[in-house]
Amino acid sequence: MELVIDRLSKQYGAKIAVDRISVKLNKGVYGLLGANGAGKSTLMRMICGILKPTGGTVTFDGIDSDKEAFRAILGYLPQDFGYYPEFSAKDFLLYIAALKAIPKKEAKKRVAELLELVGLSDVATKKIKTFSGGMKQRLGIAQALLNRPKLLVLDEPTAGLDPKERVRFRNLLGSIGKDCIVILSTHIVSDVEHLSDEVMIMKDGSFIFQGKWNDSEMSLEDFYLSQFEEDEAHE
Amino acid sequence: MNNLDHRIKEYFKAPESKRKEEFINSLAPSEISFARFVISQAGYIRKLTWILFSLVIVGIAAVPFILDSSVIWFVSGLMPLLALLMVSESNRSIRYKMAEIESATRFSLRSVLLARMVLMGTVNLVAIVIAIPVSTHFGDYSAVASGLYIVTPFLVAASAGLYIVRVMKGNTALYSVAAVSLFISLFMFLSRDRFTSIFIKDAVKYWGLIALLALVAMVKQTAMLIKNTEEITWNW
Repeated sequence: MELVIDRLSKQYGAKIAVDRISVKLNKGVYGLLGANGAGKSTLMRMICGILKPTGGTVTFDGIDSDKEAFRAILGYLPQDFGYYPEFSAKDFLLYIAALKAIPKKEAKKRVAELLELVGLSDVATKKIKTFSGGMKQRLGIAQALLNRPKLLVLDEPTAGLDPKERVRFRNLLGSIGKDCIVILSTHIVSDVEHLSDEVMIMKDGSFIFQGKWNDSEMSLEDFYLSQFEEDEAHE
Repeated sequence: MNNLDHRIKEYFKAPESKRKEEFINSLAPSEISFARFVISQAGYIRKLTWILFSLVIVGIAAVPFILDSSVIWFVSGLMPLLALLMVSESNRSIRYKMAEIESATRFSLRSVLLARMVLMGTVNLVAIVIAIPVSTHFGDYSAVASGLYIVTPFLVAASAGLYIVRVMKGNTALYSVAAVSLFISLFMFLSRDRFTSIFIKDAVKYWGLIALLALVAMVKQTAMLIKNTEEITWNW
């Protein structure tokens, strides 16, 4: 099981959003840390194959990210997502299950399982528009897990979750990360410290650090904050 | 025997499964075909769309019993409304911010758009197939002329609407499409008395030309909408 990102780039006119990123990932949880505007979401979208790169490739066990077979093993939670207003939580998950080519009978069982897992069983038939931000986020996590993905890409997954929900999410991710590749992006350092096996820190479209963070010289938070101080000094 | 099975289940609980996820992941995933996917999408077209479509069909069937020779104008005035329903359905993923999640699924946003266009195109074709003989039978024009007076407003509204949702965003796009459709509808409703010269026999060939151009434009806009889902979603 290997995700290979090879010299991946995205340019919008003169602006380079992602600058020749190369990395190989195996099973485990990888934290992608970076400030707003660092290029995290752009990178995540290219990894998922939903944004065409300007250059470079993304492959999972040799399958290109623009292929249907790649999307078949992918689970993705975007940073910001909506819902059709007539949908209940169950309707939403069944709809996404149909898009993931899961037969209806199997989808019903899987939906019930996931609603239980994310603590939304009691509100399964309620309209999503009545949900709090944290409930919507949990629903988003559930839809990403429908097809038992081998590659799980989560963009700011803990946004809107209260502390109890964050702990629950961490436990969930811990178990999932044993069997697949999980990439989660965030600008919250503690999420990365608690959740991920390895860290990738992104700044201005490039990785400034990649690997296991060693706290002996400097804490991850101090290093991350020092990057902002550098930016302020340059300004 | 049933009672015995029940009693056995009661007293001897099955052991907890171990490595359940590992076993499930080792199985080849079952899947649905694209055809079944398209059919399944019919359930996700809004109920309001189906209701409005049904009302249009009822209107087409009932109008000969209500109006005299104005049947064709009423029916052709309804056609842009069908185009509005079709364009509105095609735009839902963008409007409700579902496009990103849909793009990352196996069938993807393109397939969702294609399925919706196929479904709405099919029901609109049914409406047109009903409308043409009704209008010809109860009107003063030939079948060809009646067909063109019905199909042309639909094609013009659809091609304009699909272009609008490709270049504009949010509810502004939908309101603009509604305005264009309403304008074309009113033109057809009112043209009987005000613009009689465009419905003379010699003008039929011009209607044919407009219909053909609008058909080409509609097909092109549909193809661009499906092909450029990425640009539509991200490049606002």
